[in-house]
Amino acid sequence: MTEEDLIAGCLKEDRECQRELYKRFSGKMMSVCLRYATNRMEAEDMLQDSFIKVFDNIGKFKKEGSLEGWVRRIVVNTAINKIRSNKVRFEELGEENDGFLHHDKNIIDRMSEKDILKLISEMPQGYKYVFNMYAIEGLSHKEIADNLGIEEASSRSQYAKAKKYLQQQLIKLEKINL
Amino acid sequence: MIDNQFEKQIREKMNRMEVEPSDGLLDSIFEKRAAARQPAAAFGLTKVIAVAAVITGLALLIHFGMGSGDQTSPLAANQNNPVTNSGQESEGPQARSESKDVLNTQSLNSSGSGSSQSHIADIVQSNRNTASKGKHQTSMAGNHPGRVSGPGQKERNSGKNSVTQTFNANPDLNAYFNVDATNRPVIASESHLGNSHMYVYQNVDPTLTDYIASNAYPHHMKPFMVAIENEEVANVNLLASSSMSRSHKPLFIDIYGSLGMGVFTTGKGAGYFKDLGKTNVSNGFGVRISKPVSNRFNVFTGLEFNQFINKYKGDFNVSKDVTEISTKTTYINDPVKGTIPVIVNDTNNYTLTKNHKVNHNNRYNVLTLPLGISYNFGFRKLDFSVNLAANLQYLKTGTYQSWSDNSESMVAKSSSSYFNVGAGISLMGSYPLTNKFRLIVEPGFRTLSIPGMKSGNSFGENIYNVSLRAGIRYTVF
Repeated sequence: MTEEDLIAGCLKEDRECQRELYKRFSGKMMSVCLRYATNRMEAEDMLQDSFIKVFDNIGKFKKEGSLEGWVRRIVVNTAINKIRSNKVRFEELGEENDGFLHHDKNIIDRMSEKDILKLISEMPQGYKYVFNMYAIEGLSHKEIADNLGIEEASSRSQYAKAKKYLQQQLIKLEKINL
Repeated sequence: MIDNQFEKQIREKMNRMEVEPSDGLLDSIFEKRAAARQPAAAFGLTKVIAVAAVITGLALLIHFGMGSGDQTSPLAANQNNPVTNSGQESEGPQARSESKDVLNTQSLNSSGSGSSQSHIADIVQSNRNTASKGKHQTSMAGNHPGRVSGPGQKERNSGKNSVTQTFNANPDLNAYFNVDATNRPVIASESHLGNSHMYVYQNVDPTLTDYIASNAYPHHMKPFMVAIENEEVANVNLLASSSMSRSHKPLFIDIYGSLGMGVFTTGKGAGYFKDLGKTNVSNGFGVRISKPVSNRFNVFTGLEFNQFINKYKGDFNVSKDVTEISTKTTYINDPVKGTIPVIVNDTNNYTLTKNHKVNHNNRYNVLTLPLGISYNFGFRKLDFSVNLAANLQYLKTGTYQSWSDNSESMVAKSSSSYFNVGAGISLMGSYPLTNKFRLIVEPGFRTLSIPGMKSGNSFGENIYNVSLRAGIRYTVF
């Protein structure tokens, strides 16, 4: 089924088309939600709310990009809205996390997606949100600051710390796996 | 903008990753979407229920608060109602349940029903038992003798002269239904007011509906049948009809046209017309307002315009006695006196008959104000009224035949206006088209007297007209 057929079917509230759309994108979007949520249940709530918005607003898809990208944006925005409704904790983990580690370019290739996702989801909230928005979703620090209600400088600071934290965790995990 | 290899690698890996959500998440998505659409409907339904409750409350308030307390129920015409007026506080369903006798053999409506009497008794008993469990909703109560608004209905005492009922030990169908004078079952609040047969069936066992349908006036049966089958209070139509109380007797407005024909006779000078072909036709239209004053009788008035056309065509002879005296002079030769004239008068008496050809329409335009009374009855969906009226008639314009001034021919002359009183009787049948509109057909007979015109016409005419009216009756509740 082409994307056009899928969209047309979803507009008509065709259950089969809706199931197909869900089947196509739910896996990837669940991983997006897991990166923002604190647990699986919260992630599924985010996913549920996101797909409700997708089905309700499928008619607004303007085909300017891919359908997946449009669905992803909805999921990310849903996650951000949920974050905004919660009080975001921005932790400062101490001086040992300052600065950048030497980045082993292959370490990420050697790590499984599941492990990386686990590391990201276990990051402190502030680090996780900023890292997800900047590194994966591609938002600017200004946009992140607006979404989270923080200063742009805080966003930069949090990202730097998040990145270093993640690198440290990756190294630790690789050592454990070895 | 991300140009860092680290971020790029992370992003690529994360964007490829898929994690299966729990089974059933999609179904919960569908359920949530469906639930999101319901609040508006539920809210709408809530509003409808609230409005219906307010209307019902107002209707009950009007019915009980403004009731005339007339002990003579519209349905009290039934002489066979064994329900007695106890004047005591009713125990409602409990009182009814005390009587468990099977229906006696008292005849039901002669139109017959499909159910045996014992079957009906069983059903009614069953109905009571079910209702006593509180399953049925209560209906609009009333204070009329013999009123059974349905099992489970509590008799309410309200109004000035409210009466509550108990049932005797030998109930018949009357104990379970109100019946009218012809023993037709009526389960209603205000009903049988003139031609407005407002039958509201509530909480009636569905198996009884055939009986009711075959014997009662199912004007509003259709919307209520659904309610009966579902054992629910009927729809808004019920509420609208139940809001009618004695203080809101209906008013009927009839609009009709009429065609008629008849014969006419003349008063003075009738003999002159024996050779004429006589045709009397009429046409007209009118409006009538009819108001019930009791369960069977209406009074009515209105305004009707009619044109009566009396066609004169034919020959008639006018005879005149003539005496002719002719004088003749003859002469006698007398030898002595000479020629003597002799005058002889010859009298000739004869009758001169003149033949006149006439082809003329006497036309009378008449405005009629009827003042009448109707007796109402019905059969199934049909309502009938016997109307009797005194007609105040105003002859607006007319042309008529009259003798010429020399009384030797007939000429048309214009009449001057005058008032007159006539009479009329008719039988009106009506068939419901909608809740408010009925089709009416009304054959009738009326008299119209046109006494000698003020100009002294000797051809005074009495018109006896048979007409057929057809039109629409609108019921103003």
